[in-house]
Amino acid sequence: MSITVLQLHKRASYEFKHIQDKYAINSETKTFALADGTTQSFNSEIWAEIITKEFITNPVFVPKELIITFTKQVAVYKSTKFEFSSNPAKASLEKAKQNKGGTATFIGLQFKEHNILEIISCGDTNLFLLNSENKVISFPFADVDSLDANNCFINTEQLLQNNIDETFFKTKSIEYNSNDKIIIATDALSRLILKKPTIISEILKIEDFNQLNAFCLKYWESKELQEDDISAIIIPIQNIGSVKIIEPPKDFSFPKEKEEEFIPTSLQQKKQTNYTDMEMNEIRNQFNGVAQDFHQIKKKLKLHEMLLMVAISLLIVNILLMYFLRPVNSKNETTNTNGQSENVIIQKQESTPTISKEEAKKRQEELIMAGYKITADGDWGDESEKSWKEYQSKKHLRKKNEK
Amino acid sequence: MHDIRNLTISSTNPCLLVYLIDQSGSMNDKFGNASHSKSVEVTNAINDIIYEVSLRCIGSGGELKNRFEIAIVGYGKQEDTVQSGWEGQLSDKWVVSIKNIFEFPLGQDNDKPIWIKPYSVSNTPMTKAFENAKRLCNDWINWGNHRDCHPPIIINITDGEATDAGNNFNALKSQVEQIKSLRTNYGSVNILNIHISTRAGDKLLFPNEVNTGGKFEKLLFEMSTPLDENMIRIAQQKGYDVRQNAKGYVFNGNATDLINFLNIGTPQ
Repeated sequence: MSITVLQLHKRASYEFKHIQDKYAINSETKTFALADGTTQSFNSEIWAEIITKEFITNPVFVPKELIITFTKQVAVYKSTKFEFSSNPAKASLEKAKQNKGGTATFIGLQFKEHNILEIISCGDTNLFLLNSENKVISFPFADVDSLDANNCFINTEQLLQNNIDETFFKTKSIEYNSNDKIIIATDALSRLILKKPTIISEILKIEDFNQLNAFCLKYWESKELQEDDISAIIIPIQNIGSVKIIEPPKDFSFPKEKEEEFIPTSLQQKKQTNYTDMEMNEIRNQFNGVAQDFHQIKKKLKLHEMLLMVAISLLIVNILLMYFLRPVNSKNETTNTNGQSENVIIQKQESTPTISKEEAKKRQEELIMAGYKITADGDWGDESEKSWKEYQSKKHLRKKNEK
Repeated sequence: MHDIRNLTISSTNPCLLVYLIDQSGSMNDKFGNASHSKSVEVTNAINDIIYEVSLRCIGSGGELKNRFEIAIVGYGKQEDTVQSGWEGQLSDKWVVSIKNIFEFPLGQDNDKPIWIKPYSVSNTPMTKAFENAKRLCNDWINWGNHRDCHPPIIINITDGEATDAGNNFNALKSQVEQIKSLRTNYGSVNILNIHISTRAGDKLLFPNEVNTGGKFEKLLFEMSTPLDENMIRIAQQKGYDVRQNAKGYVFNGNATDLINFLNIGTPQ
């Protein structure tokens, strides 16, 4: 069995590139380091990578010296470029986070001569030594409560301010046998092992990524394993040479959760539309326009109303006038039509002119000459008068035509 | 019930924080020896804590993860009514995710975004505020996978007696008991109370019991749930003498206590 590195990112990170646990191995010097960059600090995975690499290059087991070594590395961490968000609120957050620096837990170990394993640790990344009798020795924490009580981390700003001293670190030298196996694991997996030591045999059986993925999913789903980055280095002391890395393939990612907004159904507020000043002005202008149009229409309607009233008044006056000024005897006129015609005849009879006999004879002769069949006796009766008038009108008409 | 120590608050398993803010007229009084009012102090603390919470949600690449959802419920801004404390573009929301909170701040103050302004107007309809919080928590727990999330945390900040608590505060007590019965697979809803006062002295921080003080101090203490292990750890880290079963109650705390209290009430 070779050295096996197991790594899987937490589901909330989606892709392996976001894992914040970093490790470094130097097979020649038999030196190992594992660091867990904390989620809440700035570029913690970069800081975790820097300290693990530094440790395997320069393994130090004296806390004071290690603090000096790591403090020197803060400059490397700070030289990493970072592009701030264009959103000022977010950029302010990023700057605040940057000011708080990077934070990580750390464990470093080296197999030395005379079967001595040197360990230095800060934080809740734990080591488990499994001997041939399946007995487990754990360091620095032997139970979950003490692991959870840990409050030591290596923070870049705290290092610069000399706020990290040797009390942050725990060191130990362990004598080992060649058949022993060592597991170093970050906090989530360490917590599971401390609660359920039999899990170690399951971990040792993991041979590929599918098995690792299935193992993590099983314990994540049963809520026994914390949803966190999972990292472990399994070191078979007999064979510290080749390294087998079990990590997600490049195309692997956990599904992204749907970004659905939680809306409390029992507290649904009546939506109040908030208008901008510009929108409010526009609404006001439109309202004023409608009000003006309405005012104009009202004025016109008033004029029409007045004209209509005048017309109606005139009509009434007219009707009244017609009623009061109608002819009073009209009734008699209509009823005595026959009497009237009789009167006309009488009038006509009375209106026959009295002319001399000589004149009458003269007119009768003229009429006979004109072709009328009358007698020239000198008597001027109705018949003569009628013929004379007819003759005169014809004569008059002829003269007019001649003209 | 699952072990809360195995729970990491994440965008897949977020946590709901509900801040109940007293906006009654008496909040216009001065805050202790400070030159500003209690409403200003509370508003500054809430804006600061939203910022602090967001610091825990920003990923290495600068992306904001929706690890927390925040509700701000104001009571006393209008007579006997309760309304969302969010303002501006968020004013029609009750609960807002961290991601959206940072998209729509109200403005900036000393290069830091702010979301709410101080108000001190009318009565103190605290019972209605808790009734509202109950509905919020109930809806939230029953939505999506929230039963597998950290239980919601309600933080009530007040300076005085509720004006709608009923006889012997029975109406208020009833609402609080109903809230305490709401639970996710990781435990029941937490209720924390901070009672701010103009009086100097008589400070009481995370007590295990309350023997002195008025009826209302005792009521707020009784209403508060015990601090969980995580809260006790943070309180101890911040230098408070906190024992097991200490309750999430602060009386007459100063500005630092106020912000620390809000921080202790926010799971890490």
